[in-house]
Amino acid sequence: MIDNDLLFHSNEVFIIITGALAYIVMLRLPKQFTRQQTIIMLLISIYLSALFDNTLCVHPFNFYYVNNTSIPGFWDLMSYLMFGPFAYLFVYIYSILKKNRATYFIYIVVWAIVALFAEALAWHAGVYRYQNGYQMFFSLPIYLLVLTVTMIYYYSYIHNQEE
Amino acid sequence: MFFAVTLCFAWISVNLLIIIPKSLTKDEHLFLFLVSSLTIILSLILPAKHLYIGDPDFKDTIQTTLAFLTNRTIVFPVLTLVSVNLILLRKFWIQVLTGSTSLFIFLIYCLLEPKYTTISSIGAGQLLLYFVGYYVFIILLLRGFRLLHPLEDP
Repeated sequence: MIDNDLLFHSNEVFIIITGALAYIVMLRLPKQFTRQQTIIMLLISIYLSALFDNTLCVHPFNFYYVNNTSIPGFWDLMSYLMFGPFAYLFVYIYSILKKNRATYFIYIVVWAIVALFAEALAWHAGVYRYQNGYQMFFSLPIYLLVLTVTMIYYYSYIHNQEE
Repeated sequence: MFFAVTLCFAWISVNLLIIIPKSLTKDEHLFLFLVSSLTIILSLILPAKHLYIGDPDFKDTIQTTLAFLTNRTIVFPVLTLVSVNLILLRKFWIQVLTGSTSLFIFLIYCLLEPKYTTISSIGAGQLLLYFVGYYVFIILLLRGFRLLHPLEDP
């Protein structure tokens, strides 16, 4: 009984802790971007997580559902907000790196692997509940796509303005 | 068949956005696309709940889902960008014409084919109220976003 209660709450605890840590790290970093750019980066992460969760969770795909029910609710909204700072951190670290021709490729691959590891933790915490044969590995192309889109944003909106 | 029509609508709306005179900056376009998409995704959760729960009584096909996803992800947000660009052109008659035409198009589109736009049918009055509220919300967000500009201290 106690274990079931803990399992029920573990996803919410995961979302609160991860989200709070991510926002604290983002706010503690020295400012590198304009306020408009910061808002857009937060929105990119929130939008992409909401988009994929509300696309892969619907019939006939039904590959997984987030948190406790198949219809998105309050904690699903919180999980979208939790993702907010990750595009910011992704772009922030990349913008201060010394780059060569292969940097973006290696950087995206490393972030995709870290994202898979984070998804494994979220799955253990009960944030994601897979069904219809979906496996965690299937998320890899989605992460590669999402990170590439964020990189395109950096090069077309931030890097171009800096030059 | 309707999925093909939806793809044509998507193509038309994207190309309409390319050809119209712009009153928004590149950053504002991206911001508006993101907030309008998020608003639409979240507000369509309840009307489209049959798709989320996989209701066996609800007879839908992959075509229904793909048309719904195309409308939700591309057509509606891009049409929002088109109308906001035109509304902000500062010519009164263009603002009135664009505002009323946008509302009319959204209403007709959602009322004629609810299966591919909102999944379950919604009354005309509720839809009208939703779209007026949606546009007011989007324009207020845009104003807020523009206010951030002079405060910049990177």
